[in-house]
Amino acid sequence: MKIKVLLVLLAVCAGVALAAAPKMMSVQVESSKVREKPSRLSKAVGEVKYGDRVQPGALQNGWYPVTVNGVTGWLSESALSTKKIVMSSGANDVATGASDEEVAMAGKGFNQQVEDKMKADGKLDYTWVDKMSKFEPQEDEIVLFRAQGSLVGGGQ
Amino acid sequence: MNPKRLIAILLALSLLIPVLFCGCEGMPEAGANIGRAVGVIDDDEAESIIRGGNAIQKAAQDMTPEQEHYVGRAVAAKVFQSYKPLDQAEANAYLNLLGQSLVVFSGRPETFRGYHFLLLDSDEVNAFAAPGGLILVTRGMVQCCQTEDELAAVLAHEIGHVEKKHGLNAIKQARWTSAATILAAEAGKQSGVEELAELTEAFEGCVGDVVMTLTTKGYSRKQEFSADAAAVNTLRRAGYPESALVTMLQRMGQRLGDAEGPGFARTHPKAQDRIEAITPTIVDRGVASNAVRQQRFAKAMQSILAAK
Repeated sequence: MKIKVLLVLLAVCAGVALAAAPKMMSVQVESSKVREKPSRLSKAVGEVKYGDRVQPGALQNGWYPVTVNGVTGWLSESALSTKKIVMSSGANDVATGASDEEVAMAGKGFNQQVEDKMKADGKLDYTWVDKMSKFEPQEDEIVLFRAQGSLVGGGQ
Repeated sequence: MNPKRLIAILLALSLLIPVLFCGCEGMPEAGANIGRAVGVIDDDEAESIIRGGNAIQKAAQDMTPEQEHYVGRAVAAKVFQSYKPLDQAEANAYLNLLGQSLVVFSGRPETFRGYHFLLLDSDEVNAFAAPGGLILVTRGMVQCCQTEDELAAVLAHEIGHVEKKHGLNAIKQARWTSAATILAAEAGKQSGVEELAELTEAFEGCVGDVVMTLTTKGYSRKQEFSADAAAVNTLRRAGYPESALVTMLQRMGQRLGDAEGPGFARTHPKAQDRIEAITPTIVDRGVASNAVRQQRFAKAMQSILAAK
């Protein structure tokens, strides 16, 4: 029985080690800035696009250290997915039948084509959705807004 | 200790540790297989654990941020059928600066195309968070706030709903199961007329579920408390006093009273219940309100506050 206990312990340790090992991740947002420090208001030193693959280091407070195109910095956890995001159909992973848990197809399903049909059918008016989507303060404006308001949060 | 009992505990830990620390999926399967390999559970028991672990195929987990973005846009467009946007450039610009100042410190700072905020021309005390980060706040809700800090608390709560994907959780399981089947068959190509009609129908169903929850049914109490908890974290990290959430809730409670009318009163737990749930988590760090914050809030929201 003691051997079985040891076996279980070994298996648990191996599982944890495997889960903690660095793995490839995909950018799951349209674009994201690589930051000099792990903060959304830190200087941008690079940019990644939807579907780009990165191999991050260990997660620290919501930020992954990355090196992309020779630039080292940080990417927000929220910008990355463990799923491989495939940008076009016919890629190998799709052909081999990888499951939805491993692979996601960009532009698949609920997409611009569906939105266009909703508009064409006269079901929804997106005028204000488009207007509000353009409300996007610049980062230096946000920094100034925070400074003027004496907001000195501890960050992430 | 009984060795079998010890093994059972270790097995339970083997399921929990990776999930807690790594958030990995597929661990029930790994744990069950370990149990089966060492012979402490039989094949049927292992299959049962695997089935149970994999059964949760919810929209909130499966949907990509890109799909969430398109659902969110449609949800906002549908809310605009009942609530007119407030076309005031200065007030909306201020709302977006305040919102973004919080988003960058939230638990989910990046969504597919980011967060955007808009005021609604309604006296009703309400706010809506469409999936993906389109956040709508009524004039009535702004009038419940006396300070920038309190309006920050309102926005931080709504950002919390986006962070926790509560909107997507409103999509009924049966609806998502059928939508997922259509999505899987569609394989990413440009859809033909028939497929597009099917897909659009599934899309409308999902959007309808989210809108129904946002405007009529309300989230569960658990989800509201979890959005409040996320709001406290965001406020703390952004440098706003967390207690602003409590004072905002107090004002909202006073304004709504025991009314059973539309808006927040119907879709949210009572303010007092939320205050009691959140108060123990608030760390008073003596963050005083600030004259500049107060002035810019009063200036940007002047016409809304004057009409109170």
